[in-house]
Parts: sequence; structure tokens; C-alpha cells
Amino acid sequence: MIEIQDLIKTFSLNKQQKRKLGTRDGQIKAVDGISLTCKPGRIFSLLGPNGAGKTTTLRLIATILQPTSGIIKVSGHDVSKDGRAVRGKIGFLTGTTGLYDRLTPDELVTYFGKLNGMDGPALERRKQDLFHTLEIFSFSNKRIAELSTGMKQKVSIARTMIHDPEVVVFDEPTAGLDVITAEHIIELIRQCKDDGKTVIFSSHIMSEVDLLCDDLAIIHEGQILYDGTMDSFREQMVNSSLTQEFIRIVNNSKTQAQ
Amino acid sequence: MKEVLHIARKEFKDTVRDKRTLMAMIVVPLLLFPVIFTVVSGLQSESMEKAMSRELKVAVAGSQVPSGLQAQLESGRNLRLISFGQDTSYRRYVRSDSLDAAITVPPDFQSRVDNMQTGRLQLYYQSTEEGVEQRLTALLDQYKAKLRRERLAMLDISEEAIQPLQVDKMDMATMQEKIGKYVGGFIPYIFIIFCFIGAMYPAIDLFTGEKERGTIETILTTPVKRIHILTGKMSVVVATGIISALLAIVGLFAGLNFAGTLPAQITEVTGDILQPQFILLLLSMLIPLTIFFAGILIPISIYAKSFKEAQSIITPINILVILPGIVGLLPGVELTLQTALIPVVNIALATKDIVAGTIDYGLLAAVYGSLILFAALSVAFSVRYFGRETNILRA
Repeated sequence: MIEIQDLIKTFSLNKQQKRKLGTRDGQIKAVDGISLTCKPGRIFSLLGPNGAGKTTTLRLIATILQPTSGIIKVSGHDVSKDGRAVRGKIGFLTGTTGLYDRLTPDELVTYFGKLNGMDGPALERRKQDLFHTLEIFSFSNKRIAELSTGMKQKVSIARTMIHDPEVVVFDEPTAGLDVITAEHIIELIRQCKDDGKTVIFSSHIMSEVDLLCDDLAIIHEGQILYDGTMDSFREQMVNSSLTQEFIRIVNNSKTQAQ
Repeated sequence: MKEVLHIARKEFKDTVRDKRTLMAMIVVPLLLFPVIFTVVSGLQSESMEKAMSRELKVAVAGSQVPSGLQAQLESGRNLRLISFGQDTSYRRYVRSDSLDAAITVPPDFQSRVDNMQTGRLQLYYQSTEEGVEQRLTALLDQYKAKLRRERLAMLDISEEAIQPLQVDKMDMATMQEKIGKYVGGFIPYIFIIFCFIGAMYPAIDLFTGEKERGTIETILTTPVKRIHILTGKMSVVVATGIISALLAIVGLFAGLNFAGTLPAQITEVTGDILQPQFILLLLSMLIPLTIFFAGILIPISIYAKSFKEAQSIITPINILVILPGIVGLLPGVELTLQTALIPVVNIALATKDIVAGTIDYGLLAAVYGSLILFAALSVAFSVRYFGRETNILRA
């Protein structure tokens, strides 16, 4: 369960960034008062164009960043007060997540298991299960640098899931991956849902969202433009295509702002 | 604590598997000095030997060469004497290397010697040609001694009569102190540099590298506290710095002992210096020094977006570290209460005194105090810096 209330995150800008954005303000609101709820056993999708605030929101949930104001609770723990407990409950995966090239998959997954407080036979059993499901055994003792992109992605999944997190956060998980490799991720997201986990993922690809999600939020310039179930979104569509509808909603907000 | 260990163990494994770090940390410091010593002393002894044994072509010029002088020169080994008579072209030949040297005997030489005056000879040579002047001077000195003995006998004076004073010098400085004065300044210079370089690559790799490879988020989303992540990583940076500094010293002493031909005294003294006590003292200063270095390197590595950026910031800092290290090599700069408080300079001067065995323990305490203070400050800065989200995620 993820509960977000009136979340605001501002970043201070340096001179270079101000020039780039063409603004004189010393600060920019990356997330501007959003509220959301992601429920267990459902897949929540955060959809928005580049720079909408998706990554910032997900990093706030994962405690990599601290909120400027507002509340985020993950499985009942407040990210500002009890970050350690929150991190113990979540798995975090992005499309550009890297791995330590000089370790083997076996060493890497063991390392992250230990950092999540696991040890001994319990860790070993969990690792064996994951390696079996993901078919990692054949290369589990090779250096990660020698692996293919697909193999690396499987290791990333094992790393994310080693401590059996209640909440899984995916930030553009399929960005930069080929369809075959992306398929591993899609399968993982479905599996998480079946296991009753809370899943939130960000994307700017409408077809991916359509394929997977139960609940949808469209975010633009740090604000929520739509929040509801995927079914109700489909029902109230003006355009026939989901992508067209997404573009229409975003453009609509732009004209309103003007 | 357990988490810090997990992180330190993994980072150490990761570090020693990196060929670049391994070169900078182990191979270079360990082998640099043995290789330099072998090459230099090999070249030197070879050229020295050659200079001493090769045949010298020496012109002997003058209308009248006394037979005694001629006989003395002929007794010299590996000399080819060429009689020039009154020909004065020998200068040109010496300049053009066709001749190694020329000895000219003025016409009045013999008569001056016979009349109890000083006979003068001219020796033409090039000081750039090693060994020529020494070999010929030695030969002529023998001739001079012979002439003097003859005169003294003729005048019936004993050798002692013309030598009213002889001073026997007793140098009370131990060999350790003498070596300490020269090598002592060199040792801290070496380990300060290697300490910094040894810590540099792991610092960049463990902090900037995490950003560059996109692994920083994976470690930040584990339940481990940020300060524990930092501590684990920092301990590896410190360990590699200390290891490479110690290896450089091992390499230096191994080089002194096994490579090349050094006087037996030096090898003996190096054995005396390398006592467990010295190593312990050195290590106890190296630890706060390396922590201080790590505290400088880590914030830079956290800030930098790429290896390249980190290196371009650190390279000028390298010079800032080397310069105070050189102070240890300067004569006349001593460990005082003031110099004991300046980081890097203090360790350079203290090591010199420790090697010479003349360390003042009060000042040594001041050195520790200063080193620990600066180490603590730099660590505190690293901690604050690692906590700032804009630095960690700067990409």
C-alpha cells in the first residue's frame, strides 16, 4: 500500500539550470501537490511526458529524495520519519539501473540480500528460487560484465526481488530494452500483482500502460490530470485511441494554463 | 556495524578486481623502486667500470720529458702514450675526442725540480669524459710522492717533520642518523604520494563509478543507512591508500637491499630502520593521514558526474599534496610546534626524525592531534556531502 497526500518537492536551481529553463526563479516545483493511493494486488501506472515529475515522485517513495512537504506512507511507514523501514518493504527497478560489473550474479544478489537484513539458509533458499524461476543458474558465476543485456536484466530483477518486497517501484522499467528483454519485466510486473504486491510503475508508453495497469494517474508539470481506474478511463475516452486520448488530456491542460 | 562490514567487504572485492586500481595500488608502488634502482645502479656501475678500465690515449708533449716521469706514466695500466714532442696540435685532438688527454712538460721542468723549485705540468682533459682526470691525477700523484721522498732524503728531513699536525676525525653521528637525514626525507615523500594515488582510484570508482554505472539508486534503496554506506566505502578507500603506501616502502627497502650494488653499510642501516617499532609508528600516522585524504577525495567523487570529471578535479589537488611532501626533502626545515600542525608537512618532517631516531615525543603528539583533527573535519564534510540529495543524484 502506498498513500500519498499533498506531496510537494521543490529543487533549487543553479545559474546554468535557470538559463536552460529560461526562468528567474531560484526554485522549481518538480512535484506540485499530488495525492494518490496504490493498493495491494493492483498495478498502478504513473503516465506522463518527459519532465512531468514521474521519476521524482518514485524517488520520493523510495526515500532517495526527501519531500519538501506532504506525506508518503509505504505499508504504513512514513518515508520522512522511518525511511529505513520503508526501504525494507520496497523493491526499486529502473530501465537504466546498473549492476556491479566485477561481481558475479551470485555475489551481487547475495550482497543485496544481506543489505536487506537477510542471512543464512533463508537467503540461500530465496536466491535459489529466484535463480530457478529466472533461469540464471547457467551464468550465475560469470562476471556481470560478460553478460548480455537480457541476462543482466534478469539479474536486476533478482536483485529487486531478493527480499520479497511488499511494494515494487518501477521507473520506466522497459526504457532502452528490446521487446524480448522488456517481456521479462512485463512478466515480473504481472507476477507481482498475482502475489498480492503493490506495484507502481511509470511510463510514457500508452500501450504498455494499457497492457498492464489497473489504476492510472496522468501527471504533467508535477500535477495530476487524471486519477482513476483504467476501466473508467476507457469508458470516458473522447478519442478512439488511448495514445490520442493521453495527448489530448495533456494538451488540454496546457491550453487551460494559458 | 554488520552492514558496514558487508559493504566494505563487497567494495574491497570489487576494488581488487579492477585492473586499473590494482596497478595503482599494488603493482606500481611495489615495483617502482626495485626497477629504478636496478636500472640506475646497473647503468652506473657499468659505465663506471668502463671508464676505469678502457684504454686512454694520452699525448705527452715537450722537448724534454724526464725519464722518471716517462717511466711513471708507462707504469699506468691501459694507457697508450703518444709522444708529441714540440707539436702543439694535441689541444685540438683532445677537444675532438681523438685523444683522451694530454700532458705537457715545459722545457724548464727538470731544472726547476732539480733546483728545489716547483715543477709544473699541464694536464689537458675534458671533465665530461668520466674517469680520465682521476686516473691520470692518481698516476701523477705517485710521481709527486716519489719526488718528495727523494728531496726529503737529500735534505735529511723525516716525513713527520713536515707534517706537524694530523687530525683524526671521529663522526659520532650514527649511520642511522646520516641515512635518516637523506633517505629520511625521501621516505615520507614516497608514502604520501602513494597513499594519495592509492586512495584516488577506489574513491572515484566507489562514488563517481556508482553514478556512472547507474548503481547508486540500487544501494540507496536498501535499508542500510547512508552513513553506514559511506563508512563502508570510506574504509575501503582508506585501506587501499594505506596498502599502497606500505607497499611503496616495502618496495623501497627491497630495492635498496636486493637491486643494484649499494655499500654494505646502507643495507645494514636500512635493516636497522625497518624495525617493527618504526612500522607501527608509521602506520599510526598513515591511518589519520589517509582518512584525511579520503575525506578530500570522497566529496569530489560524490560531486563528479563522470570518471573524467573527477580526475580533472583531483589532478591539481595531487600537486597540493606533493608540494608539502617535498618540504621533507628540504634541508633546514625542522619539526617545530608550528610545522607539527600543518597536515602533510608535519608527517613528512616527523618521519624524517623517526628514521633518524631523534623524534621529540611531545611534537609527535602534536602531529597526531593535528592529523586526527583534520581527518575528523574532512570526514564530517564527506558525511554532510553524501547526505545532500543534489550531489548524489547530480547527473
